[in-house]
Amino acid sequence: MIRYIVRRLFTMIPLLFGITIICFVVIHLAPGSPTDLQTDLNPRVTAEAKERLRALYDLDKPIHVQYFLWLKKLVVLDLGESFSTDHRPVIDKIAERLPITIAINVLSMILIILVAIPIGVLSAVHRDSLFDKITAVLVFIGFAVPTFWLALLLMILFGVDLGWLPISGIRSLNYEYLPPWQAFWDLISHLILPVLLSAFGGLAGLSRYMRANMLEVIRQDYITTARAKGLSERVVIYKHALRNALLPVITILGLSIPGLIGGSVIFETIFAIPGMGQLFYMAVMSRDYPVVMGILFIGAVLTLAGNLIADVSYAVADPRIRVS
Amino acid sequence: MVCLFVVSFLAPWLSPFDPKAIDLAHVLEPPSTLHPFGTDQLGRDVMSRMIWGARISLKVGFIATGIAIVIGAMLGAIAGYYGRWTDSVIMRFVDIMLCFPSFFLILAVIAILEPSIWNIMIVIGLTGWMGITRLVRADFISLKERDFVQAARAVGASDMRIIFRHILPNAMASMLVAATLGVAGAILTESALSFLGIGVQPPTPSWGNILTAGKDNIDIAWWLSLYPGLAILITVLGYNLLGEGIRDSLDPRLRD
Repeated sequence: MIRYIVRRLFTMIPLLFGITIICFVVIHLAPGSPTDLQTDLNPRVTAEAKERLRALYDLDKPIHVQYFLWLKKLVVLDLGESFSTDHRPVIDKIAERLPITIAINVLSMILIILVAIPIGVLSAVHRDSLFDKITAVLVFIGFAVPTFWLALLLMILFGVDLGWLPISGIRSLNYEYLPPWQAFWDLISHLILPVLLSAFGGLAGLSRYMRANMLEVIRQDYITTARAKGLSERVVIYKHALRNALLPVITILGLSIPGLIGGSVIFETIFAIPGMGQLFYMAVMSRDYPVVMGILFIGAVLTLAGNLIADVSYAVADPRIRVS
Repeated sequence: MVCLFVVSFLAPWLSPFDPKAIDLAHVLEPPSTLHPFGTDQLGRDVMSRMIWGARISLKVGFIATGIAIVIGAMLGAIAGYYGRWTDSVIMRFVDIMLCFPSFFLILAVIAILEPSIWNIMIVIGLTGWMGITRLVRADFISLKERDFVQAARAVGASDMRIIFRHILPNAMASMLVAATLGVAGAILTESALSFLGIGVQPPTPSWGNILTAGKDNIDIAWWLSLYPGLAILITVLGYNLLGEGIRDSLDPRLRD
């Protein structure tokens, strides 16, 4: 098992390199030189001073040298300083916002699993039943609904018309004065809509996938064998078939991570949640390139890490993987 | 879907009002017989804006997907046909690109370039080719050993000729399905970008940026939020169903 993990880690190294190269290329797409920001508005800056400044930031060196210098800083997670007025290190800005984004994504992942798997299994077991047909229609609609629009409609319904749920932020203004249980409910009620909506996008895909998987497994010989042994249908489906159909779901969940992280930009912006997605959006709007690059890089690393976790859990669940 | 095409082609004649005409005397009016979908915060007719928005959405959807198909098919064909290290290099590149949450990559590039319709098409296309590469490569790997390819090679056809004349047409089926689903995806992405204010820029109407107005007036003007979203939903649903339909009719295994 450990050997498998080590081998898997080694295959990640070239990917990680590739990620850094792409980030570096994207940075260099930016028009003008980073030093222009400091010199353009100052009429007394001479060409010579500009050169000195470029030398200070190593911009006079060949591009591959610049890449390695940048990489050296990246290894110790030095992502530079934000262009915004606070000039804080990018990594600090991301670190303080990352936990909430991860928390929301984990919660919605759990919700996806809890809802999509039973739907997929039930519609496979009762194939062509009314339930199967209704879910098929819902799944198609689910694929097509722009989730940010659904977010708007739910905000209008629950937030504005009914007034049940708050529609922005993660805490009320009077949060600090509430007794513990009310404070807890305050947090939960702020999270209900964002979690629900970020889960929504993944629900349709996973339930469809689960259904296809289950149908495939039910056709296998060992299921026929189990039935031939005289086991009850319930045991055959929920013990023999379900376990095998669940395995590939792990991979699918791993593959859905980039989508979830990418979606956090939309939800955090709509619901004003102070997470990484909102930071990214604000950085894009104010052209704060160091922050944009930092989040792009962290997002890719998170995806890589998610895939690793998925692969390792697959190997834990299915011994065949470890050997091959 | 056909309706949608007709509507977007005939936008100049169909739309009852000028989509950019500001009428401050009729701001945020609810749907009426004059303005079936109401008016927005500047008194512009929402229905006219949606009809023009259909044009933008289809344009972005098709051109972005076209770019993705060209890149994806080229790389997939080269990887699948030549195999060996060419294949490994291209497929590792695909793996790397897939590590980036595509929405992040799109936003990062848009932050650097100016948000404009053309940039959006290009960026959506440039970040959406990986799936097609994988499909085309898989088709090429299985097709290149077939007899008809061997025959073409035996009569001395060049690699380029074999790739474009003999194998690629046979790989069209899966590409067509991917392209149809790709159009749906690109329309969704464009509307999300425009909604966030980094896509199609006002005053040019797009379904996404009408929704932004809907969000800003969420507590008073529900019609600004409801109709453009429905338009996106129906369009994307249409393309998804079309894609599924093509897949089912092309794949005999699914016909039973």
